Amino acid sequence: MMRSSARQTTLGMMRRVAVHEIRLATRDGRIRVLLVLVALLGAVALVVGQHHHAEREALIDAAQQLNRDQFIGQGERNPHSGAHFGLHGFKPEPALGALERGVDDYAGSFVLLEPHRPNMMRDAAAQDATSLARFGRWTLAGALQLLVPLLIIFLAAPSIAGERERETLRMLVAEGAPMTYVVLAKAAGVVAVVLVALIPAVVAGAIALVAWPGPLELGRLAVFTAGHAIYLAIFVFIALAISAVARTSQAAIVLGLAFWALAAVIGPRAAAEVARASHTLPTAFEHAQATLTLAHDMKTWTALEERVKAEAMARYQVTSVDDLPVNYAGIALDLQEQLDAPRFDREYGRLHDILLAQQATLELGAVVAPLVAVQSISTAAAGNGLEDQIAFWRYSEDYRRRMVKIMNDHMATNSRSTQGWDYKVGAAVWKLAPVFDYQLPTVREVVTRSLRPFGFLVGWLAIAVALCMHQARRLPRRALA
Amino acid sequence: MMRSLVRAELRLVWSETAFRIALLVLVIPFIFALAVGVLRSRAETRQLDALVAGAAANNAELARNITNRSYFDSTWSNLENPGVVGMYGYRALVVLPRLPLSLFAIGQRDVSPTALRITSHADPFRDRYDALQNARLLAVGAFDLSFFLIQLLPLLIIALAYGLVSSERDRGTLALLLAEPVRFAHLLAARVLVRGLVVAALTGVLTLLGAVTAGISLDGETALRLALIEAAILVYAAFWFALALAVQRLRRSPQMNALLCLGAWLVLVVVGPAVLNVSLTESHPLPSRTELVAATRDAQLASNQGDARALDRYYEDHPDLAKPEDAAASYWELYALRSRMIRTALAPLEDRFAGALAAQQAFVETAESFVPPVAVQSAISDLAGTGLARHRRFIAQVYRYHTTYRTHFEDRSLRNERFTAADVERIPRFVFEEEPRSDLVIRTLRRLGVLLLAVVALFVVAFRRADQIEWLLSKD
Repeated sequence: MMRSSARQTTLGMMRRVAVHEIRLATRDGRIRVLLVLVALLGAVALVVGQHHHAEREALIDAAQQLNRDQFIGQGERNPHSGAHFGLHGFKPEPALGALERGVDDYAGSFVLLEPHRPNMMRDAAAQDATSLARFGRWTLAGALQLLVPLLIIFLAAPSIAGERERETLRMLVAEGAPMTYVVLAKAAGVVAVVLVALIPAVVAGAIALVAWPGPLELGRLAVFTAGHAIYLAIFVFIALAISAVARTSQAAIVLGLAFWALAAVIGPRAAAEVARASHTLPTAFEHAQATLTLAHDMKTWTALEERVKAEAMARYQVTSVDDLPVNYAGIALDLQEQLDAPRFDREYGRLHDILLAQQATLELGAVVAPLVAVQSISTAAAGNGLEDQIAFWRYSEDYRRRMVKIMNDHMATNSRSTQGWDYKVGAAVWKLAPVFDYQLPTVREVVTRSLRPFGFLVGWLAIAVALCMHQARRLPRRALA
Repeated sequence: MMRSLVRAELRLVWSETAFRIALLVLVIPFIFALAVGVLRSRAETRQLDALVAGAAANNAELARNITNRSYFDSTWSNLENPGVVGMYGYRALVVLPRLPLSLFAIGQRDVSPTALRITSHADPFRDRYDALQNARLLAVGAFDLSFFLIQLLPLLIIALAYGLVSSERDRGTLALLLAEPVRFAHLLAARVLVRGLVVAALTGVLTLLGAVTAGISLDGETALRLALIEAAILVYAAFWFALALAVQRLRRSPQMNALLCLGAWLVLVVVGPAVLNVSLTESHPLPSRTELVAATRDAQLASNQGDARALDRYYEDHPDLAKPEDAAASYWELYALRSRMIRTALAPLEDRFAGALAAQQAFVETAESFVPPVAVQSAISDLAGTGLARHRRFIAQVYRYHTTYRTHFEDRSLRNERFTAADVERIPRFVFEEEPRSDLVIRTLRRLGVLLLAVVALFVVAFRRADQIEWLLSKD
């Protein structure tokens, strides 16, 4: 009974402390201004992000459909020539693209799918952007990763130091409640105020979610939310730890801002430079040379055609090309694709390995800058991270090979060698090309990919909480000194 | 008097541990950023040199192969056919030269094309030859000197200057200072001057050191650009010193002044540019690249359908020309005609795109006057040769060269001319035309001039009636 009574007293004290924290924040004019600023910027980021997201999605859907219609409506041509007209694969806009832009602006928006060669993603939005884009893009994820931590620092950093300045810390200590509980209550108060600041963004997000025509992607949203929640919690406890140590509240704020600058501004960029230097990418020229089709050399190509012709004549036991029931040119074209495929897989695989190795090095920077980890989680959840770009490219390459094979095989089996390139087909054959339908990785894949960065964030949180609690336990001695 | 004040202040400041720590905080990231710039520049120079050498070797071999007839005779490999040479044989390398000072600001160099191969293909940007980039690392951002100067240097200046008056007042030593036979305004000026000179000297020395380490030859053009970069850094630093001083007019505690200055930093460096970017994309949206893709395909389809008629019409219009007798020549003549039809069809859309890009650029050049970090970043990037204006100029010249190059081979294909080894030297070459130096200087001085006005205004606010004892001694 006594223990229950003590627990109730402690809980009551914690509630008082948390409420007091909220009252202090809402009474402080500076905090009110900051709250309004964060709320406004967060909501604006979401509304603008949603507007652009809807626009891009409509544009990409229309572009993909038009692209296919143009392919089907290209008129009567030889199947291989029709394949050369090509199709474009447009990377679809992910559902959470309104919250997080990821790497999409830098990675290219579409890829040309044609015979003989895989192509790189083209026309990244960043190459048309002005110098303003180098300061960062304004999304809800950006607000959560850069701006909300600042709000937390302004709320939490003066929290304990302010009590010391006002000499109310002694009274708290004298009440007898363990200071760890007091600090946890302060953390709860800070979190409550931050959640108030995020209400406009949450409301705007809920409206957007309800209006969203596609699947709700709640699993991805949960991963996104969890990552950012842990990230922001790190700042809460680090700021409280600083507050427990700093002599004045303003000194605590300055120290907190220094941590923010390192964790969210300097650290990530420094880590990116180290990552870039750690694994060297080839130039586009070197990569293009390594992935030249064997058909690039006409002598090699002609020799291949002759070989295929001889093999076909032997298989069908004819002595003249005129008697072949198939078009050997179509067979040769398909063989060329098959012979090139392993080299393309090897070279593009090597390229992707370097890109992922650079990213892995970058993510090690999360040891110093937790922003790196939350960005990995954010982009994974939104479906626009580096892995998603690579997955999209691999789907596109697989699609390209299927589409080209269909056309080459049709030419080989539905025409004769005597017809050669004069054999023409129309819409009925063009429609045989499968629909380009890239699907984002599943939520399970997203979670698997996010495990490592979650590990970094959880590690950070554990250290932040441990530091905070350690300083909290030392508070009574400091307060009474 | 001022000299002795400055000397005294210098001795005082140097003895402060906090000041020495602040300088270390300046030097270490500065050196890191310089190292990043030097390493990237060296890598890029190596890559570009290899591309240029490779292109020269390829084209020399082309001439030899034509002379020796060492080529496989087919529609797509007969090197005496101009169509083949223009599409496959000749390596027309188009490069945006890297200026020596590009190590100071990566700018657009990691996102915009800087090295391409131009062919007779409709798309001039089909064959990019520059460095491949990691989109994730691009999204994080670069740690170059421009980043350090624009985003981090202000924090350091705020740390050095936020309490020049208010901390003396809080410590109670201000009254003692006022009792000295020296005007407080002079004392304040000496304090700002010392800190400013130390920052300026350090950034200047480190910048020069970076240039020397990178092996940059300081010829006339480069020296001028470097001097202007230094001027931009000085004016930008002066802005933040002036802001920190002006804030102290509010008679708040030193810590509150620091917070206010940090708030200004947040607005100007983080929020302001992002809000400006949103305004830009809303008010001056670009046509979508997907629109260009769709239009190109429509044009290709239309040209395919007009094939036979187009060729017949062409020979009707040019009775002096003989129709080609072999299929290969026909193929390339048709290709030439088709290319012209596509180019004509796409011209309005490409013009619209170029117009929208120009409108965006004009918006930024106007709006940046209100956001000093954006103005100074643009100035430094411009001077380093990595700015938006130079890259857009390059893109425009690429389009023009592409037209010239294609026309050169299309004309020859349509005249059914034989391509010879001697013709290799007559192929038009791309030479990037830099903008007139005066345009760059005027643009830079305009940016810095506007910023200087803000600096002067802030200093006037900071020093206005700076000797007034009532203001100095009273607190908020």
